Amino acid sequence: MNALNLPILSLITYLPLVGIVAICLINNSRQDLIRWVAFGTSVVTFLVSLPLYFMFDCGTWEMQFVEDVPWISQFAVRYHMGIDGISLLLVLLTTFLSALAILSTWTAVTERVKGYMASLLFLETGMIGVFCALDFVLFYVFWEVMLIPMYFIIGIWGGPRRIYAAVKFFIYTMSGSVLMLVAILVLYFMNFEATGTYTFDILDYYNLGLPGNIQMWLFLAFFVAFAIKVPMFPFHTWLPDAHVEAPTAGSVILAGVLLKMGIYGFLRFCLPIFPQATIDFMPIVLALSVVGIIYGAMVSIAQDDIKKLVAYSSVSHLGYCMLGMFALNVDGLKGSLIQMINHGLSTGALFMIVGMLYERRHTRLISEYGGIMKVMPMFAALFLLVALSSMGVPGLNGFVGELLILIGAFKASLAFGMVATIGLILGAIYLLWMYRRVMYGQITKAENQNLKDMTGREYAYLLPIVLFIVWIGVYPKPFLKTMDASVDHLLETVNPRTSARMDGAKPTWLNDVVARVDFQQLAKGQGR
Amino acid sequence: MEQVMSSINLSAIAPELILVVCSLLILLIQSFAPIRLKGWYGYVSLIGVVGAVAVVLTQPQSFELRAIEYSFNGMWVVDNYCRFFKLIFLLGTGLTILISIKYLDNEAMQHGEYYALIIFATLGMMIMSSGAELITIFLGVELMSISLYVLAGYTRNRMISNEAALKYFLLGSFATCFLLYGIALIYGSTGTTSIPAIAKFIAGAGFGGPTIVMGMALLVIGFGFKTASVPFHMWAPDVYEGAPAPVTAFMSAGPKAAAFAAFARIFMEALPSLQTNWTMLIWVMAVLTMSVGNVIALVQENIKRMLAYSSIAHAGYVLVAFLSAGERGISSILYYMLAYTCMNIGAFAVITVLAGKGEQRVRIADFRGLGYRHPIAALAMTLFLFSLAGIPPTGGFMGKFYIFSAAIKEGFVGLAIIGVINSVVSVYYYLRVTVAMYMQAPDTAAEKEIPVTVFSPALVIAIFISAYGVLSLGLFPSTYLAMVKLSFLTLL
Amino acid sequence: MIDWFHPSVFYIVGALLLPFLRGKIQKAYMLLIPLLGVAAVFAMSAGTYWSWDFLGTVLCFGAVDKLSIVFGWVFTIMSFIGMVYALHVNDRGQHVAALLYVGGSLGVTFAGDYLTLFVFWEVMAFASAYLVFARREPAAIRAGYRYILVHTFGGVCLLGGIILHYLSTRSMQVGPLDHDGSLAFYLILVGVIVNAAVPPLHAWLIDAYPEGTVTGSVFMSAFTTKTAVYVLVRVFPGTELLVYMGTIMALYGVVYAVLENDCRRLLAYHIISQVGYMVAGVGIGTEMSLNGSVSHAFAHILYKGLLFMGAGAVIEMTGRRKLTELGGLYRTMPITLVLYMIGGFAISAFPLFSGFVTKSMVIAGAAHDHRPLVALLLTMASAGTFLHTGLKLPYYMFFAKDSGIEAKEPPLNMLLAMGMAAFMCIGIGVLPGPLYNLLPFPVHFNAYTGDHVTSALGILLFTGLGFFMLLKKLDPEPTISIDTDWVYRKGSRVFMWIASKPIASSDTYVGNVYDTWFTRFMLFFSSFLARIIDVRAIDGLVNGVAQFFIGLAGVVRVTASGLVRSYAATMLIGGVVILGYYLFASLMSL
Repeated sequence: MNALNLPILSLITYLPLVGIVAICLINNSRQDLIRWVAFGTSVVTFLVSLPLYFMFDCGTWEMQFVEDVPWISQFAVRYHMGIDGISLLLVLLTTFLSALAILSTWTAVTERVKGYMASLLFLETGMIGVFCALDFVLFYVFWEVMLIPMYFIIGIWGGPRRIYAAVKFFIYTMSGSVLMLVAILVLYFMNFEATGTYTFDILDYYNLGLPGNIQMWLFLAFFVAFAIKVPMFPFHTWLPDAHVEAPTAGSVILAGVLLKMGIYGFLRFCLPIFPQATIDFMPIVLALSVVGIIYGAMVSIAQDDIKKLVAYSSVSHLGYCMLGMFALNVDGLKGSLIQMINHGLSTGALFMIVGMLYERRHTRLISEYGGIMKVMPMFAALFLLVALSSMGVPGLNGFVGELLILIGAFKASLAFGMVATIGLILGAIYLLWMYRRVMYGQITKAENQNLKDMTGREYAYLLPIVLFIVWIGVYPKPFLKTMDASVDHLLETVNPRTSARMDGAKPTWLNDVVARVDFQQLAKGQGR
Repeated sequence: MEQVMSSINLSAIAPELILVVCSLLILLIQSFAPIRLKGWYGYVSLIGVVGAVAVVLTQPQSFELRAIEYSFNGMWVVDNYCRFFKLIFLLGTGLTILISIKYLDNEAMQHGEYYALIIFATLGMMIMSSGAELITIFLGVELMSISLYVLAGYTRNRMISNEAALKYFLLGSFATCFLLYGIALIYGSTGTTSIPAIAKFIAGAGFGGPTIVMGMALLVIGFGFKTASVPFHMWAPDVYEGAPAPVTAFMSAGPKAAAFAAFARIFMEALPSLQTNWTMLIWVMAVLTMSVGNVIALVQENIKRMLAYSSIAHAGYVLVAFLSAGERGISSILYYMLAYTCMNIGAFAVITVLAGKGEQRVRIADFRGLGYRHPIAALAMTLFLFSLAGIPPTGGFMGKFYIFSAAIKEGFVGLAIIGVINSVVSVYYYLRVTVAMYMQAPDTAAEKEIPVTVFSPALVIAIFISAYGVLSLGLFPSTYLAMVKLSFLTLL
Repeated sequence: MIDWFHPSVFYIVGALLLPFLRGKIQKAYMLLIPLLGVAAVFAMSAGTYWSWDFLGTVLCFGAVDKLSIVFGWVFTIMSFIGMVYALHVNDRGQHVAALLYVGGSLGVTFAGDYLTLFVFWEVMAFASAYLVFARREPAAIRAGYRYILVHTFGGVCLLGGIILHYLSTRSMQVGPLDHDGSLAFYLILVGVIVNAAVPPLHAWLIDAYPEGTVTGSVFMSAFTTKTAVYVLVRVFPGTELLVYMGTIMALYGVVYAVLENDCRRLLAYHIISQVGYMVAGVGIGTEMSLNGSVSHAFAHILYKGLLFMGAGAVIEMTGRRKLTELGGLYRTMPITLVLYMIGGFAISAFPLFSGFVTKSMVIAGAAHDHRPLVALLLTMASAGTFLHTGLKLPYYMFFAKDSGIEAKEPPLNMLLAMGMAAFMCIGIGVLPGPLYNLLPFPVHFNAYTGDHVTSALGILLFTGLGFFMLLKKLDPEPTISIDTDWVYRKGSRVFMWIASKPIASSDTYVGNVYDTWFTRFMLFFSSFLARIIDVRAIDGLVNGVAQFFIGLAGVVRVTASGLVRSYAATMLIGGVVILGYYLFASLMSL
């Protein structure tokens, strides 16, 4: 599959580190150079990651671009990288957003630029690693490593309560993942007892039939780790703090990519390794997701801080992802996958937009704004578009994901589906309401009288996202097609009963619409 | 396993001999050589250490599993286990010396005795690690402890230092009594102090009766003190706080390792058949040690004291490994002690750099803004702290990973869970330091008066070595693991 | 692409471009768009066009057959008339909304799959709501947002139904649902009949239409309900339930019209009554009755539009809406009177007027389907219709006591529009052939048989006679009659009392809805979640754990007293405990 067989995944993963080295060699005073190097690095990374898509073989669920060499032979830990339809888009999303995120904090961060850019690049490495790692230990290492730069990004360049937020973020996430570590080790030895070989290779665990009760406990351990990361309903409180305090790029990455890791974890570990437990816990998880959807939406209605509002909206949106995934059917899963991308784009863009406002007025309070549309028309237009996509208006990306998820949800459970639909309405409410309070009306504050409209650089990082927002909304096929094989296979591993052959059938109706309702016959049939 | 019973075998004690010679040499230089050689003591001792390392590495054994050589009528044993430990001690010693040179210059206390004492302590540790019978081990313990008592009070013009020395001495001798009494009981009930013999006896006589169990319990107490495990940890914070930073670094790493070395050897080789008896005791001690250490560390303001409690907690983790005896357990102890030596001494090295003259800047609050005044040092400190917290990709993580995997393999899942939760708790206080260094503005008032220690090449080298150790242990553990795998003890 | 062009495109694109035009050009443009629409319909032939594969289902924008063509015709024609009528208004917002509205209903008409249908359905709802808001009076805005509420509800039902339907059948194709009584079936049905204003879900109609702008309600009277009828014909032919619903509607509207005083409310009630015929026709579901429904819808759009235009003209000129305040306008507004009366005759199904040839088809359909009762009731209803729209309303508006209002004839464009509508009413009435040919089924029905004509005339004349004899009894009281709508009128009053602050000038209807709907009430709840549950409870728990450890540490640290003796004591105690334990244990084991 990998035509010119060079370790492309490792290349993507470690390119940012090269950038860090380069940055460290630059004198602190030459900030612009540092910024350019960082941006350049991320762009190169993105470009290098593009071939993944084009060389990707959508026909198979097998791992692709695999690299597999021993790492810690004593523990049978291997350096095993590879991606399939589930991780491909996420990797691309990561490289894409990282570049834009770096571009977005050009002027926002003016002190300790070196450290900042280095952290961002380091973060990128960690994130890509998480999505590519196919070995438990490797995965865990990347998973934890990622915390460090994020911790510093929030803690050093964040807002007033940054320290609290940073420490909370770190410890909260870690407390989840250490349990996962224990679970991994237990699995490791159980697998040894079952098969007689030591391995940390994730793929080797897919067909390991564990007894139900064990599955339950291990599932729970993983569940906590991922649910905190997602975050799901009761575990979400670190998110608003982290988001509000983090600088723009931090929020963009946090919302755009970090949150996806939880979902990804579920897809990569919980579903295939603990199928039984997955099915047992399905109702609970569904319930939590739905609660999260409604709860997140309700809470974000109440926010008077734009950024916090967007943060809580993430809780709601990721609720959809969870809902779709645990609907355990093709539509739901695809929806949740594509919705991850959508959320990454839309919410990332929203945070960038908030960042733009913040850079101009240095406040995030909705009450401080109003009537901005008059002074910043282009900004208003793009803002509206992004908001619409975030609330899932037909023709924009959000709709695609949410529709698929809803279909999946209804298939899984009528009640949950219904409630989730209400969530859609709420979503429209808080976003439009916020938009209205910020953009419409009269300009009440004198400071808002002469705000500048978007600068070239701002267009440069917002427009690419908008492009994709529209593209996915209008023509999602190229994105959806990459995941078909993997999703079907995943479902087969989870539950033979809900395999592709049942509901993955491609509806071929309406090719013969001309032969529409035959009134003649109908009249006979119905009329007496 | 084959035994070679040769009476005198100097090659078996070659490294120890080198150290003895080296320390004596230093004392001689001190007394007869001109004053301008002052600065050399350190380097002389370093040469000695390096020589010892070289010899340990080239001792006439093949690195094959459990190649054991007994000598001096079975009083002395050389196997991979003790050789690995000796490497750890020597690493710790070498780093300590590198740190100390500059420190002593600052304190204007550049005396030969200091290095001599350190080397004697090291000697003690090495004897502990390769003593094959209880009395030898006891001698090692005493040699080490007494040197440490003195070292703790080395900065004699500092009140706190003297206090530390005195406390350490009193409590230490108190603990020694337990140890000695334990040895006596075992000797009384088995009629021998030789470890293999004891093992044979107990194995032969089946269960050894209450006295031997009492002996075992007393040994646990004695070593519990040396390893600073709860409830015998009380001395550690005060002593660590009072002792000069390099000494604290030294005794937080080497002696702990030595204590565990002897502890493990006695319990794995001599008293394996009592495992059922000690399991429960060690379990409780491990849980208490981890939890108390971590929890109290949360509220410490003095960084040395905080690291003291953290080292208590780490002793707890090692106890977990100890509890899950067997291949993984013991080798994880080895690995962990190695990683721990690197990261802890590294941390103390940075503290020595940043503490300034007379150690006036040891409150965590004093570290504010250091991230920008001394970026490199702060970066190193961050690395060591994250390693102590057990966050990848550092040696600390791999060590914890190894220990907990051992625990889970032996079925102590509950213990493992307590352990990981503890490491989460510990993250908080390690982060506090990074928060201070990077996220809080320095109080400029304090800046003026205290000059910060300027770097000396030795210090930089020390920090670099430990940093390298931490990273390589975390990123490429295979090589070390290969050594460890050859070095573990098993229950006979 | 070339062989078929979606008329909605003209309307929607046109709507978007309209704001950029000014003055004469804009007026010309406003007329051009509907003409293009008519042309597009004229040009189209049955077939399937413009379908794309989307998310594994196929979106089809152009599913054309005879049925959709009929509605296409009448919608486009009506949009032209309406535009002419609205030509003098210069409120761009209204025109844009109106165009979008028409575009929406055309989109529904040609939608081949439920998804497309739903999207356009919502477009209609919001666009039409704007026509209500556009009057910019508190009453109107309140009515408008009630209107939104109802349609959102309908929309959600519809969407839910659609999804369920898709799940059960894996098909999105718009077509007759089999009456399996499944939830999907009923959800879709509810969603549709909300728009068809079937009692008790009709309240929004009489609530909103009278509040709309003069020109706006002309559009509204034409499109929303009739689009719903179209969907009913398409999806629910022969649903027994609809027969009874329809019949009840037909009477219901009439009965309530009795007490009505506001002229447009009265007409609104008659919309319900008329739509009743169509619904009934759909319910009966025979060829003839379906034909009847369709043709009646066709005719109805025209004459009801005409009536609304007439009433609107009067309101426009006098500024009054209550019959009790009007009267004696025949002198000043004769042309309006004449044109209005044509509409009145048409709706009351006078021979030679459009209503006759279509309504009688429905009734006949009922009769042929052996439903004498239904037929009878429907006939009675038509009598009642004549009584109110044909006699009472014009009487009090134009004759009765002279209210002494000095009103002029409405502007030319209004008269023109009414003229066109009137012309078509008569045209259809006189030669129904062309209309019949458009209908989905071959028509074997002739309205102008002796018995039909005579019976119709008989009924009508008797009604007229009765009217003038009982004139006194029928005096309208200046009241608002009570209907199911007060439930939510009152309900929403209470709601708004809790939830709303007075609606200042807010630029979008979204704004209005949110202000009234969410300020306070919603906010109260959500801020409770945010500030209490989230911060206090959940986050409090999280931080509580942390606090607990810190506190614990604070407690435990006091053990480090710094006193050697206490340290030694601790060690001793520890030792004693351990030794004691082992002593005890080994003694036990001995």
